[in-house]
Amino acid sequence: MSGRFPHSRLWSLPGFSLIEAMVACAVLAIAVTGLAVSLAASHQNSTAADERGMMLQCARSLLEELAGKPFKSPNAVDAPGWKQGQPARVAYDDLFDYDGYTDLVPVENASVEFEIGKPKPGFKRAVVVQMRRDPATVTTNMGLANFAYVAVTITAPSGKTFTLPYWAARTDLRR
Amino acid sequence: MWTHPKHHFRRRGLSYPELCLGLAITAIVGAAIASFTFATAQAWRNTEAGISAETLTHVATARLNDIVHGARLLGACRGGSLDTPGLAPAGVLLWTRDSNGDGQIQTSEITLIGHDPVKKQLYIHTQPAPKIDITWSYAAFTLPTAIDSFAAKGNRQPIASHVDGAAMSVTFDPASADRPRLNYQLKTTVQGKVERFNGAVTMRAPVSPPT
Repeated sequence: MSGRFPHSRLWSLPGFSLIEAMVACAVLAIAVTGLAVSLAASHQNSTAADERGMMLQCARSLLEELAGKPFKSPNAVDAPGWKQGQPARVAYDDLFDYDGYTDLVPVENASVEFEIGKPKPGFKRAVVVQMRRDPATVTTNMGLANFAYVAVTITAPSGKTFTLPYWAARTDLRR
Repeated sequence: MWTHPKHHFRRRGLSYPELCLGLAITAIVGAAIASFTFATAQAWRNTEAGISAETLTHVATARLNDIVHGARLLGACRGGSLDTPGLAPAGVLLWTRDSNGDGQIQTSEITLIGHDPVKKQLYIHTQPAPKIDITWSYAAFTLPTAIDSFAAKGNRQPIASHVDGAAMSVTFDPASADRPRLNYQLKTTVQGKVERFNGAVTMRAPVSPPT
């Protein structure tokens, strides 16, 4: 075999020049970079969509709870709300008890990324309930309030924020 | 005039070690490309499935919100199950409107939101107004057996597909002033990806039960 494929002849065949190798590497690098960028963008979009969906779900669930509360406390003695030092939502008996309420919904979905070793982040929810005499006029007098502007603001672990608004009226509108 | 040198056409072919080396490198590169393509395709499929499941739950949620927000009363509710297919499927009756303004519940004014575990659908079921619309008492409207008897006739329209399991419950305390709320859980499977979704929807303007 050594006679047929002499070592010196095999390894002395002309190979690629440095320029050719560099051009090939550059072309490969450009192709791989393009592919990687598009894949990363796709992954980011998917993660962002996932996060938006979860944000909407978290905000909506709290908003639906708020929408179920009466405008005015039905009890003789109004139960204390968040600003009166009651942190438990279950004790709230009217819409305005939620004003200022904040909580943290833990991230259950593993597809929302977080840094390993750090505390598991969550979606921060914050509620604002404003008394309005009419939709445009803010009041602090409950007796004059005919409307309530409710805003549930949610902040994702990534820092993205959005607000889900809701209007409540003192008198239910019947169909 | 330039001519091809004769030796130019007599270049030797690949030697055996060269061929083996070439094949080995080609196989390694091919395997790498194949695994990369497979992983990419898999990730793409997962993303697509996730987006499909999310869209599906959003559409179902929007439809449920639309129906329940505008409803007047919640009636019979059957729990159903997310993971036990043998149980009676989830369903809830709603008095959606008072078409004739008589303040009474009639068959044509009722909507059933239910789950069909065989077709894996969440559906709404209505009965068109017959010549004489039957008036329901509130007790009959809240009776669990009313779900099946109502579902026996009428039209069914799917509002979400790929729903493997559904569970529903009603939160309503007559002693409190809180509005009734429908809590629901959906389990969807799209392209093998299982998603669970918890939602709640509160009636915006409920009325008192008719007497």
